Amino acid sequence: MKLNSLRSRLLLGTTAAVTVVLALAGWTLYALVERSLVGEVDRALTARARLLASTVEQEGEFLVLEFAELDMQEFATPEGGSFLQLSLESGQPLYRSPSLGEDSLEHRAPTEEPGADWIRLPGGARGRVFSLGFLPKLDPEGPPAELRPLVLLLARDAGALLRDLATLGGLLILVGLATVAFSGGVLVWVIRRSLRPLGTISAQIATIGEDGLSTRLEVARVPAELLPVVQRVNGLLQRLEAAFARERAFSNEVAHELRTPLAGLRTTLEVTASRRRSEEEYAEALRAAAAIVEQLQSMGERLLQLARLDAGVTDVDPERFELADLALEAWEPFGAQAASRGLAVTWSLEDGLEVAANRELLGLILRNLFENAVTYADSGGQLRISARVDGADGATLRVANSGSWLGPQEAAAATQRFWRGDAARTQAGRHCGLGLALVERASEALGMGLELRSEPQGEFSVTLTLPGAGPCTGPDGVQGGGRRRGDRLRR
Amino acid sequence: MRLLLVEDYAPLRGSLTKGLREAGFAVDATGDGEEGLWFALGEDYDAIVLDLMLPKLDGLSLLARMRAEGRQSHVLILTARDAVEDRVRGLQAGADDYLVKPFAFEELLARVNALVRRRYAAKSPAVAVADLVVDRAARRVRRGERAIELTAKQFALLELLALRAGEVVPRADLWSHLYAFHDEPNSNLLEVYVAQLRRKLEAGGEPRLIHTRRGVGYVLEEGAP
Repeated sequence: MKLNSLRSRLLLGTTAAVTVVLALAGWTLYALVERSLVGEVDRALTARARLLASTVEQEGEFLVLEFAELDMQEFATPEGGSFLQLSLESGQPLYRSPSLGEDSLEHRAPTEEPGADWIRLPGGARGRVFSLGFLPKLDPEGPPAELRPLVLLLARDAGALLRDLATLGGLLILVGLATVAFSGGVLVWVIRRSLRPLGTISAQIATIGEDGLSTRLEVARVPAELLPVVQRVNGLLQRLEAAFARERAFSNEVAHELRTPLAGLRTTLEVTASRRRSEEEYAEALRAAAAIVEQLQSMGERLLQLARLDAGVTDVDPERFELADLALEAWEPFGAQAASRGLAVTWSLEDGLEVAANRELLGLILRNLFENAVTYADSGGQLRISARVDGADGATLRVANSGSWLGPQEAAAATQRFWRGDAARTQAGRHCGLGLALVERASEALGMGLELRSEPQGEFSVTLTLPGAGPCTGPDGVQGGGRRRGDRLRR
Repeated sequence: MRLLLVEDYAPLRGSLTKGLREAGFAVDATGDGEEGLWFALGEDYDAIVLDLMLPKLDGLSLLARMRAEGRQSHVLILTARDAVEDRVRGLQAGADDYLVKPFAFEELLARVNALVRRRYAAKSPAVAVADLVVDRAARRVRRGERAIELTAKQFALLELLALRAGEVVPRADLWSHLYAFHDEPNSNLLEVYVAQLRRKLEAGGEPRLIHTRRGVGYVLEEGAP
């Protein structure tokens, strides 16, 4: 039997409780019966002692023991089981019943509260003894005399009583043990029956593997106590199923997204290698292959960043810095591309706006927002990048580009992984439908709000809400800000 | 053979176009579903290589619209989706074959050639007319025991004539099968290619097999005047 099993604990605990209750009940019953029987003996002993004492008279210097004249068979021999001894208060014996023979009862002073005691009788048996202190009656016809206090010890063999009590005790123990054994058996049956649903649930759970997450535990015949557990396990299974489905869908997406560039790479290499070519043709093929590899590398890096964010292993420790510095740094790689596409970029960054965030993650967000805007703006279109204090303790950063054909719902879905708003794969080089997904995940990690909107006039905007941002406080406590960098940075 | 390639991933489209042209196909290529449909409805292609994920109009819709318009060009679907249901959906939409990316270019070429053969009901890659054997798979031509070296354009011209042997092939058909949409051949270039082909085929003194049907086109057959 395993001590840490629920069944053992229930069985041992309940059996122990039953045993204790039965022991207490038995002991109480035994004590009550013993007290009642002994009390009965004592009352008889007391009454007899008083009766005997009332027959003692003093005539002058002499005591007349009338009871000695009576035929009291119980005092005749030790087998009679009764013993009588009359003594002076000092303990000097005056009379001993024949049943005492040469022995005497141990003298004991009478107590104020008369009562019987246990005593070892001559011959070794246990008995009850009553000690009665009294003054003998003065014979009215006799000469006057000083009454001497006497002590009458009346003892009775309690062997029969003790045997009855022993029998009762044994009987109680037997009944107790039988009750414990019976209740133990019943408990084993009840516990087994009660815990059977646990075994059923356990067996059901054991059959659920990675491919069986759509299975749900039966709730129809589950006991009320286990229902919350089963419901929670079912809830957990549902969440696991959804998570696994998401993982599988994402893995499939990754596999699909990798296949097209790989096909491009393979075909480029195979077609190039199919015949001897000029140096220029080889160089062109290598450039095409390198561009595809760069795209694959970019996708791999983004997937890795997403995986890190998902796993929560990305450092999100905040630091305070000026937002404009980071924004301009993040813009660096895209300036040339924006110029080549003829985009008009308008900056409107509130001067001295500081944020408290993880610089690396916010930089990742900004780079992806800028790349997205530069890639998807219409040629010769507009790009607007603005940041301003918003409310008492926060700021908003907005990156908007013209040329969007997305509807409001499509814009909101643009953060889905590998989403491109069209069945198209990509004609946009490095972009692979992960940029805005990364932005969303990173902004979540930083506790920032994110809103994507597409206006009817074709403007797509991403607004980032930055908590804990505000005008920077200089060393002299004077707040900077209010000015805008717009004109200086406008391109 | 005239081929349409609709693939939105530019590097793959470029390499495929190059490889298919070098294999002797006249290739029209586009990365846009709507433009792909416009091409497919405007020309009678021997085969169409069609990606499924396309901007503006996805590949399956393009295929359905094309079939609805009565275009029977054989279509090879090219896609990254490899699940059985994806294949079934593509084939049910009217595709003739299905190739999952990434693929070996040789396999794509073999499948495209198979589609072209099906179009001309030729089960064997080799077509024989008299003692002339045109092996389309190996891209070799023999006249009796004599091997004949042909350029890609010459081979393409002979290939179409051989696939439709005994049938007068109109000049317009030959033209459209030799040249892609953006190519602009000289008006008498077809005659030049036919003359070159006849010279090579008859270099051993063999009888003429390519005959002119004035005002109509050309026919490949034995013993015709």
